[in-house]
Amino acid sequence: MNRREMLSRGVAFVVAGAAMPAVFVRAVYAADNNGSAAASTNKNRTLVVLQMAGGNDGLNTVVPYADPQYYKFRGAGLSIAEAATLKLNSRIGLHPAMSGLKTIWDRGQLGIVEGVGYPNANLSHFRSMQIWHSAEPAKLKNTGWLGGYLDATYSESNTEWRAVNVGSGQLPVSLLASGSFVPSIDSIAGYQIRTDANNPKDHSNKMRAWAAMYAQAAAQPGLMAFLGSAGTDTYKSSLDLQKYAAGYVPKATYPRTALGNALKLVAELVTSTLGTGIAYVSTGGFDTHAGQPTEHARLLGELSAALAAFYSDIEAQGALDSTVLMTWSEFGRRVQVNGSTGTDHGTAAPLFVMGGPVKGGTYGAPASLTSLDRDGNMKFTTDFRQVYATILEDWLQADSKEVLGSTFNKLAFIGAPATPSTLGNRTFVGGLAN
Amino acid sequence: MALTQSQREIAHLFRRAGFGATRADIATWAPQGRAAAVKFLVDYGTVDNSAVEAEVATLDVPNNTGRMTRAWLLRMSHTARPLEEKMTLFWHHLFATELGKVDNPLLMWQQNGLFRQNALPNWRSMLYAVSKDPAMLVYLDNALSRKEHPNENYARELMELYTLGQDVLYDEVDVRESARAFTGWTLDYRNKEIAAVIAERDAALRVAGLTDAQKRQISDSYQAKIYQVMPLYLFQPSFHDIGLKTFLGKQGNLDGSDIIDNIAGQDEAAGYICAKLYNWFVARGTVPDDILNSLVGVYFDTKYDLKEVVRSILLSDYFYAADNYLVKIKSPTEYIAGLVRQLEMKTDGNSMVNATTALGQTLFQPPDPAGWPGQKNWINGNTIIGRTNQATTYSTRRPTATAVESFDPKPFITAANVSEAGPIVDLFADLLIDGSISTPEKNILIEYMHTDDSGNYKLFTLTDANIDKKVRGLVFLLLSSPAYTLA
Repeated sequence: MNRREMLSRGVAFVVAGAAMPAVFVRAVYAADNNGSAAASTNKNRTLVVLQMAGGNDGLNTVVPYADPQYYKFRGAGLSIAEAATLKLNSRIGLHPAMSGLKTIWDRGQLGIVEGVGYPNANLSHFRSMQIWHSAEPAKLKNTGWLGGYLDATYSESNTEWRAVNVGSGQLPVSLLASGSFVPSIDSIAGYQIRTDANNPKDHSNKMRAWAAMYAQAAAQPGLMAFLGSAGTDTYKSSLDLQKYAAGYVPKATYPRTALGNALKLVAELVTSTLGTGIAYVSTGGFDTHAGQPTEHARLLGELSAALAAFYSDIEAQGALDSTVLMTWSEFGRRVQVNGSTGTDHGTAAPLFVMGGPVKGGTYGAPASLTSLDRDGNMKFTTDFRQVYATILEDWLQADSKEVLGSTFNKLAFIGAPATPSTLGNRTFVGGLAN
Repeated sequence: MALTQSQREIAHLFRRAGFGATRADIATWAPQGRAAAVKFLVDYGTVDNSAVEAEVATLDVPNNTGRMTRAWLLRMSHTARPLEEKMTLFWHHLFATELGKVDNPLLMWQQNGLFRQNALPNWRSMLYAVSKDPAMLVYLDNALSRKEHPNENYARELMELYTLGQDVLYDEVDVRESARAFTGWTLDYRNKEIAAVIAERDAALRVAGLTDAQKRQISDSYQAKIYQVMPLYLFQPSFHDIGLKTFLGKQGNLDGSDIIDNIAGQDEAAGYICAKLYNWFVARGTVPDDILNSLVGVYFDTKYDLKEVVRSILLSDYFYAADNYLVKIKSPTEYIAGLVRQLEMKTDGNSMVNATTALGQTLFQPPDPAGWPGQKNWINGNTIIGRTNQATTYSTRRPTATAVESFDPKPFITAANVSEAGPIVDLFADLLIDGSISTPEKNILIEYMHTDDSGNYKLFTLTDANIDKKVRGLVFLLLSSPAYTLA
């Protein structure tokens, strides 16, 4: 009946496993993967995924200043003058608010993939996000591409922190997996259970009873099982977090924004000994239908400043060469400015990849501003799943076909693989006893 | 001890159609039965709610976002009309509007009043009201839509999110055509204060030698000021596209009213809003065909009266069926406002604002126009720990001379006249989770009651110290239990 409702209902644990305690689900997955050489994992490699929710205006992010069509469509009200752009080459320049990213470009560690989209673009935020999350444009799918990677590379010895969502919101569909628990966290201090401060000696009694209630629930059907295993895994992961994530001191000054705080926490987690390989961050507000110039400059300025701080921090922590970060947004925006100095939903847009292993430069091909579709939108040149496939294969060393269901032509933005000498003195927790 | 069938029905009804049953709700309505209770909940117009009105009136709400949220949470915790408040929350979930973009608490509070005023509305009238609601006109940009450049934002979401569902009946052409029809549904910038701001802006723009970028910056900065004053709805003929339009197969010089009338009469629209209400009150997911057909029947028979659709749901047997019992996950708002209500806490409402945000729901600030995805999406490591820590906070709010917020377990124990661990566990398990716990679960709680600080067995006795430690501990465990997370 209600298609969008179905879309938005994330399922963190599949029905098949729902009635079983999580530990049994895991055993099943581990057995499935035994002897399968299809997927492998390298725990030293870290991927950070940054979602820009709302549909970022790609044309005003990576400005095609040499294309007169751009100025014709965008007009004086919305276009960014050639002189104002931070020029990257003879064709494109960054939005003037993105000086931080320009520095990373100058160091040769920022890749820009141009014209990214998918066939039969959907202009609904929700459906288009779902498509990017699930890597499945043709039909509804309730698990994500990163969740698929986690499931494909699952091993009994994985730490619960191998993937993490940073933020106070809900787990993104990208991370929804069939058999892997993914914690969501917005601060390390906040990720522990407190009980009655007046009766500290009763704490262990309370937590024993609490853990027993959740274990009981895990053995019941339906939502009780879901809550029971989620609670059991959460409690264990919170104890591990307090144990293994001590001692981080940021080595860069992060902007005091929600995104700055989130990326600082990402740096803390990926440089800890928790063994975190995937971190997910989301930032919003890019749905600039009206009054775009001021708002978009603020959003891109915050994004660029937070990314630059993150880059310097992980470099100083010795983790730059083991980290790749990618951005994405569910679509770009209409080429023609609307009547509210804003832009309506569009299609293709560029995205960023950044980090020590990234070969700076542009990839894919820019979408044409002369050959538009019937709605006045750009035609994509690069399928977003080519980006996913490149990251899965060339960075995470996984079988992209197993995760994405088909083979996509890779792009060449990953350079020489990280070598152990550049990884710093990181040791990993590895298997955590139950 | 567990609840009787009729007690459990009342507990379920008040959880779904309100914010949880109190001791008094069970005592009053269990003997009278569900039909009487549903009548009380649905026909709330005659229920005196002056106490909560007076409480909220002291807060001087409109200028302050925090106080606005606090006032609403207080209403949920203290209202004498639970369904009115539960439907107000439903409308905020459906017509999810973000204060961050509207940028004017006055408009958000006015919209909240609109939702309460029309809590059980005629659907077509509600669509008229929301399409003219100033917060919505700002939020989805229709206020700025002009015939020269129609803004598609509202027209698209009206169909995708509010009335039909994505790509149901309509296509991109219908989106464009209805956007044209809604041009002219805007805000009254002739309001004196706004006129003054606009005059100031125009003067600033007339300064000689400004670059386009500077002009743009000036315009944008005044736009924010314009939003700071309270505009009213206005139909502005000069913005309206009077040309021929085609929408869902009908052609004419359509305006927004024609679009709404057309949509409200569609079977798909009836099915969509009835399913939304079913999902809200009964269960998530696909609505069984026979149930949906009967609700759609009520919708058309009553000329789109959602009050009767809701009444039909709450009186139905499927509403009380075992399959639909404890199958929803409480939102942070339901969780926090509900525990404050059920524990009969003294509160000024302040703590609830941060508590709900900490659990992932900031009222007046949904994540996007689709609202909160809800259900399993409420649950992750952060929020399980968050709910558990909130259970600690509220169960240990001790009454003191200066406490603005407190929970006192003693009156519950005194009224029930219980003193041993087992009956005390029953008392609070009945109140909070309908006594629906198995023997092993109950044994976990009883064992906790009989455990001393060294972890050894010690018989629970009813002393003030034990009430303060163990009974509060028991309430903590129940509030943080998987069962209490469910509705």
